[in-house]
Amino acid sequence: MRVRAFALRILRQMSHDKRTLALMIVAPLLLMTLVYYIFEGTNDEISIGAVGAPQQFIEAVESENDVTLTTYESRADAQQALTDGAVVAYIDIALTADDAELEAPRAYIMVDAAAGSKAQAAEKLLRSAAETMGGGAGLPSAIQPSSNSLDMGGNQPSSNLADTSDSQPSSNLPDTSDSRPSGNSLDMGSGQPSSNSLDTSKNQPSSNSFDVSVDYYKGIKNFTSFDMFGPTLMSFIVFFFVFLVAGMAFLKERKSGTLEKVISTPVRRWEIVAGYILGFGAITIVQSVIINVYIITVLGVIMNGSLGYVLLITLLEAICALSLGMLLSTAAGSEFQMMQFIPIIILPQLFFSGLFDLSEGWLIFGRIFPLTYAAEAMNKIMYYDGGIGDMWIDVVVLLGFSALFAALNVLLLKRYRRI
Amino acid sequence: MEAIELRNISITLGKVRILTDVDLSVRAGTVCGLLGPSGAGKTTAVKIACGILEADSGEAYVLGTKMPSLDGMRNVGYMAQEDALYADLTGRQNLEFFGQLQGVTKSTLAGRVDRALELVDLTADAGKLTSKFSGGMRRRLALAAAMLHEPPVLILDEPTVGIDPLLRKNIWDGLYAVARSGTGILITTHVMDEAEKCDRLVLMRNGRVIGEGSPAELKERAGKQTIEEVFLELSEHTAETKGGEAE
Ligand SMILES: Nc1ncnc2c1ncn2[C@@H]1O[C@H](COP(=O)(O)OP(=O)(O)O)[C@@H](O)[C@H]1O
Ligand SMILES: [Mg+2]
Repeated sequence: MRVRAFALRILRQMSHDKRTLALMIVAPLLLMTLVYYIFEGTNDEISIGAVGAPQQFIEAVESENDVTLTTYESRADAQQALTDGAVVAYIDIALTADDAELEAPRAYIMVDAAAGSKAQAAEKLLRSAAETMGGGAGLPSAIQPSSNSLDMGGNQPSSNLADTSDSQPSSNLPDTSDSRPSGNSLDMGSGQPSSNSLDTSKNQPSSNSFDVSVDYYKGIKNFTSFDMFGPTLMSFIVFFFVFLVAGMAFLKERKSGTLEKVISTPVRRWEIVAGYILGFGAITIVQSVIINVYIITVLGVIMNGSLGYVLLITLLEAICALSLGMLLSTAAGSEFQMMQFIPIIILPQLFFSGLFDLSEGWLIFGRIFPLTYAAEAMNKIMYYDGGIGDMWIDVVVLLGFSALFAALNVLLLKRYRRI
Repeated sequence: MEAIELRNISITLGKVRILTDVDLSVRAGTVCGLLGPSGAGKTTAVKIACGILEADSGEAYVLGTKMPSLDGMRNVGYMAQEDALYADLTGRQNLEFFGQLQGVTKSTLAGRVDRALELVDLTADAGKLTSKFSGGMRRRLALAAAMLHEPPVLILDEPTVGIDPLLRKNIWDGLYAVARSGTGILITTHVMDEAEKCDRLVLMRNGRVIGEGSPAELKERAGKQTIEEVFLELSEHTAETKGGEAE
């Protein structure tokens, strides 16, 4: 009852205090948008790999602005480059003997889906370059629908096992093996030595355009910078603003004399803390949904996992931030002291949360900060489609931190009333 | 049983002795005034009575319950000297919140809020944010917040400061009506003429009680016409005896 009274009061106050509401919701959105433009703007270069591409094709692709094309000896090399993040897509026009019997020569395109808008641009570019090779623009549409089934049937037997295994992109990265679309394995099997590919590509393109098949690969190295920092920065910004708003609200309670009035009532100390957590927690749910959806759909940050988990982690992290904010504002003597906690306690968390490559020792030091766990869980979900099984430790640790901060706060409130 | 009883209270805050051997009692159904100049220790004394502060030595009781205790707090309505209100809530929302903290049940809350608003003449302004209230309006709302749960003990720290004379009279009438229904009321004030309205007075100076009794008794004993003169007389007396107990 009293816990609910606090929560209701906080919601009502917030509904009258548009500025604080904006600080919790609009400010994070603006900041993330700013970060997005800063990082996206840094590098427009699209790197593409090619295997067995004819000179004509290479020239066509390189004539595009902001595109660099690297040629590789085999598909395995190109795949390695993709896995390492050197290219966002590659095209393989090195074809097998079987392909010669097809009506159209084949081109195989592999795109790193994690590369976001660059990947889309690369795919579009490669497709159009491959399809217009030799000028037979009318043919592909007629041929393409049937091509997939032909591929699968035709290539599988001839594929050579040793070759297949090292041209399998998924074998390089155990983590991502499950995020690959199923059904690709057949296509992957067609990774072939370049024996007669040159002949084919030289003989055929003048009469027919390529029959293009495209695969998507969910890598982790090919992020845009924004993908790299997005989930961690999002965690930090939510943490920061919830900390600030909850901490300030609790400080104001003391400064305005209302805390004294509150403790003159038969309220228990834990009810005050729980009420604040419930009230700000409710606001935080709304905040999390808005911020997460905005960053994922509008800013298009990498998102391979489930939105539900992202919201769960954001919420847990926000509860942690608000219980820490309240604790520190109980400990602080003034607004100024509260402000001092920001560089001392909040900023360092950003440095240790995985934004920078840190040495082993610093990484261990980072384990004392809640944000480290929140960012870690967020990365697991958004990059690797992690589930509760992958991040339960982070969930437990975040809950543990929240419980610890709240309990310490209940104790520290004894400063104001012993019972 | 006394509504409020302070026994031999002493307290030091930040190395300064604020109260020394303070005794004070308020009978149920009466209005007791705690009179003293600013800095005398009135606020400190009433905070101890309502359990917000704890004395270094001595005891505080509310209706026989030793303070601080949650049971005791249930029986007290406290109005602080500075308006403890949420500026970003409306008048009504402030009252609802404090009513809920005091444990007023949902079914009676709306009625209690209406009655309290009426007593302090804020019914028409209840929907406004308190940040838009004048000083006097805030004071009245704070008073309403203390009385909402209809407690048997009221502790009001300078409740009528900044309230215009006509409304002040209404509030005193209201307080007397509440007292006559059995409530024990402790009011602090530094305004001498307001002191005349109390059933009993406790005079305080420099953290010590320098006199007590009904206004009439006090004046008669000292042979003075006004409480102000009584206060000055007693102050000189205690100064001469170097802080000895004033009777
Ligand atoms: N927390 C505190 N720390 C130190 N001194 C205090 C504190 N609270 C009050 N005082 C001092 O105690 C004295 C009495 O204060 P107070 O009880 O507010 O008096 P009154 O209400 O009669 O004006 C004042 O001199 C005040 O400065
Ligand atoms: Mg005072």
